[in-house]
Amino acid sequence: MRASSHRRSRPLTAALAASALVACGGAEPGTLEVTVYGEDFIEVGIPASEVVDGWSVTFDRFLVSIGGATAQAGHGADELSAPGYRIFDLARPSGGAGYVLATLDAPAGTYDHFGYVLRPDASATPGNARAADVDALKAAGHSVRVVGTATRGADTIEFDWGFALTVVHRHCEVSHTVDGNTVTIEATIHGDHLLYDDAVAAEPDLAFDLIAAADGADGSTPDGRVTPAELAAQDLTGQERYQVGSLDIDDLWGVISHQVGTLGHVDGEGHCEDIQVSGT
Amino acid sequence: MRPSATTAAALAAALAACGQSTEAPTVMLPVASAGGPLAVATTDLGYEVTTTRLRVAIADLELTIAGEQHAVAAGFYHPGHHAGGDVAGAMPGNVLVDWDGGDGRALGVATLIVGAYQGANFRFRAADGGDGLATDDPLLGHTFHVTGVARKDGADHPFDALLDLAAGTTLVGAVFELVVTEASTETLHLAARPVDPTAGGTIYDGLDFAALATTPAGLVEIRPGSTAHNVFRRPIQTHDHYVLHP
Repeated sequence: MRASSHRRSRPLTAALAASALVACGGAEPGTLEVTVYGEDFIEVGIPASEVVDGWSVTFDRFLVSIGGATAQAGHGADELSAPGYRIFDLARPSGGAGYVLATLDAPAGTYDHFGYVLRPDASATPGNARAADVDALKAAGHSVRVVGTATRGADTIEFDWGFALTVVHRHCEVSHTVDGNTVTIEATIHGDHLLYDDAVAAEPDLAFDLIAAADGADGSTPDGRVTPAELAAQDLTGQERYQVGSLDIDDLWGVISHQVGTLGHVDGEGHCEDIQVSGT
Repeated sequence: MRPSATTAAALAAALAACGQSTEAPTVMLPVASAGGPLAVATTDLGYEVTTTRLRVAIADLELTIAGEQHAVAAGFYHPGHHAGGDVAGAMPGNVLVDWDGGDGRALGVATLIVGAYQGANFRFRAADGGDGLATDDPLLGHTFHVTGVARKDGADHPFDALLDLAAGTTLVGAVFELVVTEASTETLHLAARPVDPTAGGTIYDGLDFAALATTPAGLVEIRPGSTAHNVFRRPIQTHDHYVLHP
């Protein structure tokens, strides 16, 4: 079992804004809509220009079991919550809008606290994912599953990776004011992070060469399909890239699994101050 | 490095804002490199390695107290590994730490909110002109410079290693266990530990010195771009090998 955490400093301005609004009073309740979106990198693909070794990557499926959404307008306010979990395929085109995870009646206020969870959940209900994919994800006990293809010239590598990790995102950077209106908070999933070539550098690159080279690394016959077992057999000790700092990781599957804890953002590029990862 | 009143004020304000206190007492403690010889390391490949000098360029030392307690896997943490701790002390700025077997050297002054500390973090960087190095110092442009002798089967293998780390690489969770009070005055010593006392690993694990190319003078030079460099820089950047102590 692995657990880790990441923290960021919390912006003070949002809290001050929330306090100011509460102090003024007179605002009207509204609606808070929570969406989940995989952006173009998941819906369209990651172009070769973004990958240092020239591979391009497309996702046929990018399944997430997501829920546990919470929002709060300042520390003293009641917490809104949508505790259930739903399964979405973020590779399906949404026209840039993402998919609605939950809709909540929201008292007036400036919502500066937001969180959500990626986790395996046997009671999760379908979002936009196909029934067979929902059943398979739940049966495997996965929170995230990515199925896709990497291409460079005439070379192609397929992958189908499932992760049983639970990733709790809290204190995400938001500031949305409800005053008789509907506001949307987006849980944004950055699928390209799975290709990061470093677990600790401030600005890692996207890379696929070493993943491709893992085909057959476990002694199996290379078949153009890289499995978790092959990635786990890809030792990193002598690699220039794929540094892991103090993390207890020494193989490529460990790095990719670690990056699952970095997928979750908010409203595009916003970060969550507190991320807790557990599971395998 | 001079103490930063701004840092003290910011830390005090941060704690007060969290509702723990209307006033957050702080103290300023000197920080120095630990003196004395570095421990001899017996590696996984059977080398007995004496480190004669280890220099590293770092920045922005942070001291952490236990933050919110989260459900984490039992056994994940051991002393100093509270990666989720709250930063309650700091010594911002660049420092060059030189462990050469002699006396420790002053590195600066840290500002700490009183509390029970459980870890330290810092950022690795490349040494530069601001570190006061001679223009021909081999460490310039690199993060680590390590020299020593590895012995095995009666043969000595002197070595000289320059290591690079990617910009922004941060060490999180060095051991630092100390209760800091308003009466605290002790100097905090930053020490390198070639041998991890908890797990027994060494910073030289995986290096087969006898198999590495040497200079005509018989020196093993480990430089960026080599597999030995890549092997060496993995363990030496882990929190297992650094401790901050009074």
